[in-house]
Amino acid sequence: MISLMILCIALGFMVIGMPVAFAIGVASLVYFLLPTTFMPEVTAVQRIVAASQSFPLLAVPLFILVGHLMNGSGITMRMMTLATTLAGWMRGGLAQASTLLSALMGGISGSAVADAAMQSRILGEPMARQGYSRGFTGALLSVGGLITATFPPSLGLILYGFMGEVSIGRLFIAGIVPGVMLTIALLIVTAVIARRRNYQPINDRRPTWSEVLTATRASFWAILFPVWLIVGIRFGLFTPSEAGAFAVVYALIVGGLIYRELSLRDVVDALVASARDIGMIMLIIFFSGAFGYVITFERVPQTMAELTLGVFSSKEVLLFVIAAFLIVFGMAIEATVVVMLMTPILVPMVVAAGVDPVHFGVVMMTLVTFGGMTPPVGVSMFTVCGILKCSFKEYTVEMLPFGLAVLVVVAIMILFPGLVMFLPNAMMGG
Amino acid sequence: MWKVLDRAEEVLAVILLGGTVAAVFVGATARAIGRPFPAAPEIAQLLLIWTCMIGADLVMKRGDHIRIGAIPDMVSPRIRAAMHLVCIACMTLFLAYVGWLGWKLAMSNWAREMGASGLSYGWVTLALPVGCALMVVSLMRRLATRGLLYSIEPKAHEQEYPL
Amino acid sequence: QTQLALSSSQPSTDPLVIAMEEAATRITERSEGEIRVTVYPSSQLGSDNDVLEQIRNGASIAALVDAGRLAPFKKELGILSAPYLVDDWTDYKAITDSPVYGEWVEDLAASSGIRLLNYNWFQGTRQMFTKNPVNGPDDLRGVRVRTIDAPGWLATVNAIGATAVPLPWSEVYSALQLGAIDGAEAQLTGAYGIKLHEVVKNLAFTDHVHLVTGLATSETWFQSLSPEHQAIVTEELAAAGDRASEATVAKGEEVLEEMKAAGVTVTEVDLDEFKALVPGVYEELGLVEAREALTPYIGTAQQ
Ligand code: NA
Ligand code: NA
Repeated sequence: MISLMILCIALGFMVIGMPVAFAIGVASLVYFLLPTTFMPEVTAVQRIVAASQSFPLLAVPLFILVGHLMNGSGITMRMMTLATTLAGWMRGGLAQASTLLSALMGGISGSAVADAAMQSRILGEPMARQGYSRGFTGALLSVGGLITATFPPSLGLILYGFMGEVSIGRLFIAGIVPGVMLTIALLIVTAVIARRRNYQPINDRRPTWSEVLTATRASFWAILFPVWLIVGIRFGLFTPSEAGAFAVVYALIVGGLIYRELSLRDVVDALVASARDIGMIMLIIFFSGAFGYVITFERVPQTMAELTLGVFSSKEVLLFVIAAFLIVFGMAIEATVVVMLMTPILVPMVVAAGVDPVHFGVVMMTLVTFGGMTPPVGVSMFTVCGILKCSFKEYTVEMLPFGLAVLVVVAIMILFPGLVMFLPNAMMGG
Repeated sequence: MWKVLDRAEEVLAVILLGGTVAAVFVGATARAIGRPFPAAPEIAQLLLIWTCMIGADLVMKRGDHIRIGAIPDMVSPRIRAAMHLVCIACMTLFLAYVGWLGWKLAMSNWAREMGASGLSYGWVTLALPVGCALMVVSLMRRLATRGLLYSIEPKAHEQEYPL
Repeated sequence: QTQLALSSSQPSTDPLVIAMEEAATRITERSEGEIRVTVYPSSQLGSDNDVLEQIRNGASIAALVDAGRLAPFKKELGILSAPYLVDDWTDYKAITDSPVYGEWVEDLAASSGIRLLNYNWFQGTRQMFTKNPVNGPDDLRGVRVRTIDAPGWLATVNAIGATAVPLPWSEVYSALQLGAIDGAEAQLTGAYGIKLHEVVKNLAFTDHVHLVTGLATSETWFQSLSPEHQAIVTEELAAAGDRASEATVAKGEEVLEEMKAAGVTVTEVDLDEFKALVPGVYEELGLVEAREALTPYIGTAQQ
């Protein structure tokens, strides 16, 4: 039960406002300083360094850089034009366009928060002028980020694959169908609300084929990227861990040579901003390396698996119980932290119960990332409400229908694993 | 003086991150065309840990490391100050101790090779003590210039988190 | 009372790990609970190099490693995983019984704090798994073959004609499936463990390295034990190594049949063609003298 104590120390430091990375690091170091621990303290330091020496983990900084480069390269604005052309005629046109934009951006960006922040900046004011309440705008843009995080590439799935030793390529492809389901779910919820509140379209008619064609052609190179990504991985041009480097080069070429909007100055700015984001997120991952050693050394995964195995009558029941746990945990704790702490514990558990770790990974990442959009603690929520200046109370009320839709999609994913798994099985072999 | 150093650190971060991307790209391309460059992944990982530690220090300078501010924001300023004090004290001790252990580890494992590149693993380990030392300095600078309440918290709530 | 952690990169189903579990029980029994042993399979405590570093810092861990990992601390030991050193893995017994080897082990303990307890854990002979059939060194030209990321292994694979690509073992299956590499060199049981026969259909018996491994632990920890406890640990772990090797040989024959049944084509190659290519490896790794020192004990296995 030493590991439970260490976990409580970490959570205690987080509650009083210590940066998450340090709360985890300090608590882990405490374990090595305990007189009952036979390991030398320097092992803690070694685990921190060793956490950096994983090749798949390189994908995280690379995709963070891709996100920053896209905004500077004109890809984002072209995607916006396409989304507005496609959905502008619907009731609540701007809101529906924002959901489509999340789906389109999902093929290049891997981060829910980055998508929510970017959309809040460019859509916040236009939506307010159209008469959408700030709470509704915030809730939709925040939850919409979940679509971006589910379509490949996905930072959350990379982290999960890294921590759980699960094929990142398969995880990526498994995210496609859930991404489509989330998009449809959010479009439906928005349509219902828009009808009830009489939110207006922004275009007075459906787009003509030629308008769609023009907008598609303008963002052609950006839409093409996810195709390159899947093809490149599938045919061995690069491994999923290396895909990020190709995405960076692709963004540079599209932004600099094709669109001619990306200046050297923009590239340098993107690199500096990325270095900050990378330092922020990777420090948590590094210090979690020491925490992971504590969990392993205390044999927590084995114990948990032994305790739960046989208690639950079916895979579905086990998954629903874990899902409920992840929702509660994810509501209160930052997504990266949940992934780092829980993946090594949960993956052996579900695998022992006969669940495909790829299927579980998509379920887990959807829930954990969604946790960032809910009170009391949610990075997406803080970011969006901070930019839009909406109250947390209003945000929370407006978020409920979208949250419900997300949970329905997750329930479908748990009950029908085939929906998630048939694409990866078909494309990469069972 | 500080300004020049801060600027230099940003330039360094740009070079390290750019180098990481280049190393991964070159490694994958070389293998795809049948002339593997086995040292590339190791170089990328070496540059990565340095990028991350420098990046972490850049964030420390802004007091912008991901934290949960809900509880400290609810309590009275005096209690909040006390919470911050506990955090900063523990963080400083942690950084100092980990930095020192990391230095010892780096010095003791120069004999350990990374593999294909033949570089010493000590170069990887060294990033940690250097990063810890930089972060202690940055934390103390922030404490001195911004005061207790804004040392691990940015002034404007414009944090951007990547995940 | 003391604790010992046994670490291996192999999964819990591997004969080596099963033998470790047995040894753990026996050591605890014979020491009447004074030595508590826990087994950590699948590199749970870190990569081999990480665990060795923990050991050097005094952690009470015994890790199963190949000699290449120890070469940075005692160059001569690297010869134990050099190509075509002996004709059969059982010849390693003559080496580890020799005074030359004994001196190397003491030098290692004195200079690095690593105590090499035994070197009798046979993991299998490394063979060549490739997409296209290999009948001789010429067929390996330009073939990208995955190997272990250590200078000795890279040199060996390059010397026998292939293009060495170091990749983590966990990425080998997908890299082969996706075409990022054209083959992998591995022992039969390891290859079967990651279902390599699903993605490559050709196996050439190149026998280039007999992968014998040994348990390395912390000299500080080992010396802190009473002589009785030292004897218990040494005896039981050596006995476990012998049992593990037997089980590995048996399992190797078993999985070879299964692989053939799964459609893998086996080719026998002329080993002399390959042997002629490796003297350069010994020169490159500075092992020429070490090889001469061992010659009296391994006879004329391959002069
Ligand atoms: Na995405
Ligand atoms: Na939350």
